[in-house]
Amino acid sequence: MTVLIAEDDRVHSHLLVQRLKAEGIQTTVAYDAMQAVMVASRTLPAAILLDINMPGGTGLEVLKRLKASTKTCNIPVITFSGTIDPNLPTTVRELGAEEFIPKPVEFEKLFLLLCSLIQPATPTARALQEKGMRQ
Amino acid sequence: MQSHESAVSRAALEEQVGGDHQLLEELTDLFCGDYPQLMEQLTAAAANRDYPKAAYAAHTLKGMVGNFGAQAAWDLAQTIECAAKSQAENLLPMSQRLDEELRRVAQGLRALGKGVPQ
Repeated sequence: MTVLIAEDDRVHSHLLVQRLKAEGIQTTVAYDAMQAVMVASRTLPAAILLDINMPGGTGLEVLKRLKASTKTCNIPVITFSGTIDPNLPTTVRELGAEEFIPKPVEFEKLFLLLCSLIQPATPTARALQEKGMRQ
Repeated sequence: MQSHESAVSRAALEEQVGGDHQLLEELTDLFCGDYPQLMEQLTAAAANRDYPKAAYAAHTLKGMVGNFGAQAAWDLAQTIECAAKSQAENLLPMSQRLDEELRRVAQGLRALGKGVPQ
């Protein structure tokens, strides 16, 4: 199970790669919009973490392309951005994203959301699922 | 003038890296390697009144420092991004202030990296 991280900020992408790796989740990284669409289509990841502001086209264009393709339309997409546009969360949901998280991203929140979408068989994810079942 | 240690939030950093100090060092190296180039792009765009490029560079820098809880740098980058989007005239002096603040962030990260137990 692999998660695609589409993020041009190398600090943030490395942070996500290493934190997810520590939780037993494999990742691939795309650093621009075109690469994100190509890698998603080629590798069909379990989920996509998509930054909205990237070079080579915006994350919104990536989201539209992913949701328009029969190959990638069912892959859950979590978007994030540090943008000041208050309409962005609604816009991305209307385009088919599962969720919008403002930057800086709280890893725990992101990981919980990711686990609810892809249910990885990792110890932390199992613990979270058991905790959720008990509540 | 604030000390460079206060340019970043230790608490925010600890939370972001989940207590992984090796990861903190790696992120510091990435930041110190990448921000000067983005700062150059911002300065050039500000000098040439290339507002979309200036806004993009400021936005990216804002995202980078947000990872470290560097509030003053984040605020400055945010101000520049907004100013560039409204095509303000004073981008260059603001960019110079951001450059100084980013140096403090880099120094603060290095200092925190040396100060934490491995």
